Amino acid sequence: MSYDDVEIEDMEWNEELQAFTYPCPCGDLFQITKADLKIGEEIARCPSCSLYITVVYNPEDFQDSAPSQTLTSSKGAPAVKVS
Amino acid sequence: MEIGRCGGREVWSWGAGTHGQLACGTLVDALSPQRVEALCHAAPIVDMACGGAHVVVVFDSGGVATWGRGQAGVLGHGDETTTTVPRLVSSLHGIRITRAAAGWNHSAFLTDKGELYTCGDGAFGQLGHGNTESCLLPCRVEHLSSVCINMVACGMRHTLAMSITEGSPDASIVYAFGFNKRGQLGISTNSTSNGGNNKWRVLFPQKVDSLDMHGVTSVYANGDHSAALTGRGKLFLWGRGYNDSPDSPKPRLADMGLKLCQVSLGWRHGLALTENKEVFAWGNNGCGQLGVSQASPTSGTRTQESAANQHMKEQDEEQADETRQAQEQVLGVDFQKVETQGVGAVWISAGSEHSAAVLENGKVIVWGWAEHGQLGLGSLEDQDVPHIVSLATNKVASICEVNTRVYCGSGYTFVLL
Ligand SMILES: [Zn+2]
Repeated sequence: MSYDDVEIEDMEWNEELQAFTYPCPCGDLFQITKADLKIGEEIARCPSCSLYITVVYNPEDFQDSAPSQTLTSSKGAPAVKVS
Repeated sequence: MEIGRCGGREVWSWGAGTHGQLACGTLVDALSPQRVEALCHAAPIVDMACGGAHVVVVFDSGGVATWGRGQAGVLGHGDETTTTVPRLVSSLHGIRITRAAAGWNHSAFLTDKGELYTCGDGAFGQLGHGNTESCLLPCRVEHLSSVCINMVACGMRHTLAMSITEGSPDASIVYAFGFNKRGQLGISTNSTSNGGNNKWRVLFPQKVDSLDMHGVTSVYANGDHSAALTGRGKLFLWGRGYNDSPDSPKPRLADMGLKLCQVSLGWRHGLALTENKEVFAWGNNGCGQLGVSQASPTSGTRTQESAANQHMKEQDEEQADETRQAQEQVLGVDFQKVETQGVGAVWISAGSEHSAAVLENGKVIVWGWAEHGQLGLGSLEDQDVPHIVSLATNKVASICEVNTRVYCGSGYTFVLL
């Protein structure tokens, strides 16, 4: 069962992992890549445990054909350009 | 670096350890308790705080040591290095720290003069410095420099700080800062700032007005949850709703008709200790973290309704006021009594998805999620009722006073003997 439903805007872009992340109760991070989001994947997994979350997002925001759009990463740091 | 003199307490750890959070010089999980040699020869520990994957200890000398995942400077060493053994926070040298708190990825330190320092991830404003920058070294929260802070608590992305005015304990003030999307700050956020998630970030400490004059003496936070306990043992809860019930952006009295003396919050559950040494739990029980066997889900339940009825009998005007608040129920909060092996409990601690308590006889009991060995029972099986952890110690427990303490982090556990 999904541990939680998390909105994409509450996830943080992690440059090192090249993935959107969210805290996992085991201490590691739930992760999902932009490529995953592009194909409509909505499960973000934790590499260290059996838990996973359901990512709530608009798949159109991650489609190649979608008009260029800016998604603010929750770091408030440089916005992630999705084109 | 040398941590200090001898004469300390025995320290044990177990559970998730891949970020060095067990302080044993390793990067692996431990399913059974292991003695933390680096701390057993240290100065006596007076406070401890376990976060997402980092730990803070405060020594009676006023010094502080940290270890674990160093991301965003959460360890306060001026860099982001992960360390698997305790390391003194040298930038706090000369400042006497008395208490500490640890969030998912930020740390808070209180000095003997009531000053608050924070470091680590500041992306949500949880450091209280007026920006979303991270701090690699502990920095004073200047915004609170005119008040004396007595207690601090860190959640996943938020912080609570409490100030008690000497001589008028009812006049305590609770401040909150950081992320407020789930109502965890207990204040209404005006959405005047720019879009996205920014509007939920409170960068400077704000007063939680609705707790004024309730005589709050302790604050607690974990995940997106917050809690406060009053001097008369009443519990206020706010933030993310329990069991999928709506979030509560305003502190609400969660009255079970019993006087509480300690509270500890997890990511989806909470624990409360009564003055009669009973333990109650509420929230999600998906991993057994409530410690109440599935067979009798309602046994030992104290609903707020019955507590309210009890209050109805009392004529005191103040009590009547509290009754009205109790009727604005905290949805999804259903207190269940934890069977603590027929022995009274003296201390409780909730991890993200597991729970622990210290009993009057000095034993440590654990229950809940065990995937990383965080129960220390040598297995990865979740437990829905409390079990005693066996510690191979030679230390003789004091008969007069139980000093044993247990501190749960996200997926790991520490015990001080
Ligand atoms: Zn995990």
